[in-house]
Amino acid sequence: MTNTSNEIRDSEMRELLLRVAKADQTAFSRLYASASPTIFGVLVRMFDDHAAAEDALQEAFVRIWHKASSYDSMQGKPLTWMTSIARYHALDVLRSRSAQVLRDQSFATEAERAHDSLQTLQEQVDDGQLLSICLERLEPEARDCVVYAYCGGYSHQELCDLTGRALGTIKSWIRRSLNSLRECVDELA
Amino acid sequence: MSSPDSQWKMLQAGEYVLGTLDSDSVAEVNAQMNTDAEMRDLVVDWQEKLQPLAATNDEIMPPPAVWRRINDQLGFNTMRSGVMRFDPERRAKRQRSRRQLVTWQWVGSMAIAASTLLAVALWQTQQSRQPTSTFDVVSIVSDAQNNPLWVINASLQQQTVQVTALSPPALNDDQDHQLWMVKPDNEGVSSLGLLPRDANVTVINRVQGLREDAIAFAVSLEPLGGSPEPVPTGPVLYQAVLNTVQTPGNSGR
Repeated sequence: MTNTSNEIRDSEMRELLLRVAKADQTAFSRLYASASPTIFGVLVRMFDDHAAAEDALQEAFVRIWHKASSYDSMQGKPLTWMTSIARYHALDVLRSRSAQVLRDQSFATEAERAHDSLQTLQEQVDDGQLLSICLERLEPEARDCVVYAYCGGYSHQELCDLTGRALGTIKSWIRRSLNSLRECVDELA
Repeated sequence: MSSPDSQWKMLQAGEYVLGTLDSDSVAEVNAQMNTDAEMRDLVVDWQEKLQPLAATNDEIMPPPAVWRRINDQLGFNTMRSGVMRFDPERRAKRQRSRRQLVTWQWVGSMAIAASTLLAVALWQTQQSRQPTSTFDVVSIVSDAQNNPLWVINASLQQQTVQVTALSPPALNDDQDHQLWMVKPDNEGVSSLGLLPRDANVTVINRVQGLREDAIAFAVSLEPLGGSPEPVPTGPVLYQAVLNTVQTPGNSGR
C-alpha cells in the first residue's frame, strides 16, 4: 500500500470511528469491512487457530464499538489503535491458556514465518521500510525473537522454549533490541 | 530521554506492546497509563513503530458468522450479514473458505427451500408465458425471515441481469445495495450492478462474465453509487442460490 493510500485509509477509518462513537451502526459495518481482514490476519497468526481467532475478533470489535467514543488521534492511527485492542486481548487469552496447556511450538515453522514477515516488511513503504532497516541492524537471533513475540504473541518463557536459549539471554536480547530499534527509528524518521 | 526512570519506562512500554511482559507487569503498565501521560505516549509510540509488523500478515476474510455474532452480542437488530473478500495468494485457505461458504449456503438454502422453490416455480410459470424470454437463471434474494426482497433473472447468452425489487430493505440516502456474482473455485466476485431501491421497480443491467457455474449471488451494503473497489467494501447482507430455468435447451443445475 502506498503512502497516499495509507493516508486515505487512515482518514476514512478516522471518520468512521467518529461516527461509530455516535452509535452509527452503518459506519461500524464499514469499519468492520475495512479493518477486519487485517486484524483477523494478525489474530490467526497469533493463535494459529481459526476458531480462537474468530472469538478474539468478535471480542475485539465489541470493544472497539464500546471504546470508539474514547478514541482520538493522540491514541495513534485508527488501524493501529484497533489492532492493538485485538492484540492485547489475544495476548491475555494466550497467557491464560499457556498456564494450562503449552502451545504447539515449532521453531522451524516460526523461523520460516519470521523470515516471511521480514521479507514482506522490506516490500512495504515508509514506516514498514524504516522498521525493516532497523530490524536488519539487530543481531539475527535477537531480531527473530522480536518478530516471534510481536507476531506470534510469545512470552519470554515461550521464547526460551522455542529457541532453547536461557531466560536471561532472551530478556536481554529483547531489551537491547527495543533500545536499538527506538534509537534507529527515531534517527531515520 | 536519558534518566534511568525514563529509560525503564521506554522499555516497559516497548515490552508491553511487544507482548512479553508477565501479567503483573501488564497490570502495572495499565495502571500507570491511567495516571502517567508519558507512559501513555510511549505505548502509543511503540504501537505505531511496530504496527508495520502487523501488516506483514496476510489479510484473511473472517467468516460471515463472526459479524453476526458481533451484532448479536451488541444487541443490534440486523439481518444475516458478513463481509466477503478473497485473497488470491492463499489458495489453501481459499479452498477451505469455499467449503465453508458452500456449507453455509447449503444450510441457508435448505432453510429457505420451501419459500424459494415456491417463488421460483411461480416465476418460471410467469416466464413460460413469455416465449421470447431468454432468461436461464433465476434467483430469489430473501431476508432471514424468508421474505423475498428481490427477484433476479439472468441471461447467460445476452449477459444481462434483470432485477425486480419486491420489498427491498430501507436504505439511508448515502447507501445502495449492490449485487455480486460469487465465482467458483474462489476466483472472487464480480459486480452485477446496483439493486433497485424501491419496490416494484425493475432494472436491467448489462454485465460481463456472467457464468453458469457461479455458486451464488450476494448483496452487499455499499456507499451511494456502489463499491469503490472491485469487491464489496460493506457487509454482505444476503446470499441467494442460483436456479437454472428448465427449458428445452438446458437440463438444469
